[in-house]
Amino acid sequence: MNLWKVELLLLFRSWRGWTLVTLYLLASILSLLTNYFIDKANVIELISYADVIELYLLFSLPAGILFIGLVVSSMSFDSNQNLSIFLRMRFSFKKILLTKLVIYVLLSEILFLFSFGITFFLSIIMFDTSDAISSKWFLFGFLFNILNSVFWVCLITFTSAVFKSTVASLLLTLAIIIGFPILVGITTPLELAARGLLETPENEWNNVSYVGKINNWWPTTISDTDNFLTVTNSEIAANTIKVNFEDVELDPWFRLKPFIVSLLVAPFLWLYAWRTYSRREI
Amino acid sequence: MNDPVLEISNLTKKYGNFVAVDGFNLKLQQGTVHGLVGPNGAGKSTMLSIISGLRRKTSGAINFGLPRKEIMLMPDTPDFFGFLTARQIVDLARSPFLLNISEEQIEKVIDAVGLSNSIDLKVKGFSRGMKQRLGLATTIISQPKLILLDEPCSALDPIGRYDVLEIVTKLKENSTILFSTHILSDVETVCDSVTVVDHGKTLYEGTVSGISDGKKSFEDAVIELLRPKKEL
Repeated sequence: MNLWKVELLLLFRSWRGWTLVTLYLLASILSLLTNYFIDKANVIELISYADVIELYLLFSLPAGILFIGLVVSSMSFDSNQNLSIFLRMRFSFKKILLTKLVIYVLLSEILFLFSFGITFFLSIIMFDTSDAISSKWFLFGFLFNILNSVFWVCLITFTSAVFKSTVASLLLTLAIIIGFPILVGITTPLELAARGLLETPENEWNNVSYVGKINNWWPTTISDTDNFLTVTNSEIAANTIKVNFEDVELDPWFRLKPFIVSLLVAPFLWLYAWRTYSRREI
Repeated sequence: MNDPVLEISNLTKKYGNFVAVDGFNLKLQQGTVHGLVGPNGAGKSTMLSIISGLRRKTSGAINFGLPRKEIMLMPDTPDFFGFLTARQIVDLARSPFLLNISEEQIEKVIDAVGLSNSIDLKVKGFSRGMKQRLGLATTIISQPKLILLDEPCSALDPIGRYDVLEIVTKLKENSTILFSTHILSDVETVCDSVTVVDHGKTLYEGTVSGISDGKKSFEDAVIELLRPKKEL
């Protein structure tokens, strides 16, 4: 028995791992079924396989959130003092932390790619493929996906280190990931209304509103680059893609600002977490 | 005389204005069992966690006559991964210290703490007493040279207590033991020397027999030390 096996057993001898696998597979099945029924109903003339994958990316969000919860819960190993003593008397915190991070990063990529692959191949069989997905953009999106996961590792390690309690760490993580965008969504129109600028076109809000301008730099928005995974030739010709149901210019650096912030912030998050874990008293 | 396994001088731990450990001194020779006695909140667990490196001291010096990896702490309410069996837990506990170990050795240690009937049961169903027994098994499997036991018998039935005290006596052959407890008769049974602490301060440090003048029992002498003096 060793720490690697323990971490895998923790996932797959409980509801955790299987629920996660189920949610990813469910996202894949639902995206295929939804488009199948739309196709049957003849609502849209031709359904492209890229549409199916876009829907898969949307449906896999719950799995992503569950995944974050599982990682935070696993990283908050100090929340159970006596279990923490058992671990810390025998393994260095470096080994505990690295084991967890390596397993969860690998698992995240494997599960995402596995269900993405299933959706991709089944949608090729079932739906229209005349408007092909650009492989260059796909690889570019995948590169961002990996860079994104490095930032997530630093962020979750940080939020898990701030508090000993799992619940507090999870709430902080969700506040950063989901809470802030919701807050922006609510306060931006309020701010614009207060400033008498509510007539501004919606796609300009983030450039006019002060809250929106902060959101433009918010590091977690780099996950929007997942939309590069499904850029089609027609979108390249039109020079636009859909991001969060809005048409956006097809620009490889449209999330450059949060990307810069994530690159700058990630080392500090990691250093803070490392220092906190190594100095934390039981 | 050999170099001491553990030498503590003037150890102090403060939490803000609260002094949890106040100028604690201790010298442990190899192969001895030293008892740490005191009421709840006396600072015993804090001392043990500082010695084991799980808490930082405010001031004072701790010198070890052995490598840090030879020290093992067993908390008073050990906890483990509930989805693993007792066998897997003991195997996990030995993994950082002993590369190869036979199944028989693991079974022998589990048998010694009286858990052979539960060896392949998941730990989530264990009582507190069973977890204490398992805690002792995970402590001794790595063969540490300095063992810190924090109230190891607090949740055990009389037979369990007897077994643990017997194990502690056997461990003395190869290890040094610092043994914190509320049960004064246990100190008399297994300890060579004792420190009585209250509110972080040392009230007595010396041999078990030296605490009384010969007229009082060990228990009476300790209680007299700990009971606040009533003004006449």
